[in-house]
Amino acid sequence: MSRAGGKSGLRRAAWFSLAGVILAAIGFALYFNLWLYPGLGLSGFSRSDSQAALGHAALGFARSTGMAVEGFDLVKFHEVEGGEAYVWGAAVMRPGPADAALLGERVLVWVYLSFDGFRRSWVRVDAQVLAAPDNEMYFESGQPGQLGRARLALAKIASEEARRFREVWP
Amino acid sequence: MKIPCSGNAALKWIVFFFMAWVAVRGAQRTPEIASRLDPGTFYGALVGDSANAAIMKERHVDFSSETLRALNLRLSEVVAKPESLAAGTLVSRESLAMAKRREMARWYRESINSEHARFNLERQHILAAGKPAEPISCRPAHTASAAGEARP
Repeated sequence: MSRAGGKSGLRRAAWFSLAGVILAAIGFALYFNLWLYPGLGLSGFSRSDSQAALGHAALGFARSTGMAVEGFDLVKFHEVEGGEAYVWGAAVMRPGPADAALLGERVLVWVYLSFDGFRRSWVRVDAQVLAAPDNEMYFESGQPGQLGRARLALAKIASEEARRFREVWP
Repeated sequence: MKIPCSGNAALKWIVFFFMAWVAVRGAQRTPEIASRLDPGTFYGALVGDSANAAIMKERHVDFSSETLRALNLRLSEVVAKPESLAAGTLVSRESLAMAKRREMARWYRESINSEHARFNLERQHILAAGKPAEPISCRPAHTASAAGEARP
């Protein structure tokens, strides 16, 4: 009786700790992607400081990908009266020597921020290289196949996550 | 199963009260009533939503046109230096041209959507300007007391 009880208690403890680790990982992923990374370093910019916030976000992206910012091709600020505010733009960047073979000598990077009324701060919504080599726009019918597409999508998510980690903890 | 309940009538009244409350609050949120109870908020929200939608559609157009610029940039690099294409990737001269055709079609669709959203915003502005002047639960008009005459 006591031996059986001890065994089941150990098993239960193992299951509980596994569940705890999984829950903690999910909680950390949510905290990182929905709170820490979006607002990182942007709390100092007011609602009207949209261009400076966009520039800061673009510099962060450039630092995490080893690129150099050359300027902006487009910057747009829009706001709804008494509501949301958005700023987006396309930054011209020069990839580092390692990525130049894949991306080309110059790339356009889309950066998009919105103003979070709850946090009273700009938050990152999107930052990506436009027409990147793994973009779906290069797919042909059946090329790559479904598995290849799934692998590409997962690789994209993983590399974006790794880039965010590099941006937060360089 | 029997639910032991001594205050059966009270329970019925409470359920009736909350159902009536739900019905009243639901009715207050229908456009026919909400637009008369508080026209400013109602039409302001419609204008705000339409303005937000127009901004988002404009962003889609910008994303598409910047993608086209990026494709042109890459295409001109590839034409100038064909050896810059890395082997084993999806990008080639043919796929770049195809992506450009696709993106042009997408830009066309997005710009039509953006124009529709702008038309809708104009329409909501017009509707808000011509909103009903008097809500249902209105106080007596100021003119009545000022002129010293009673009006129906």
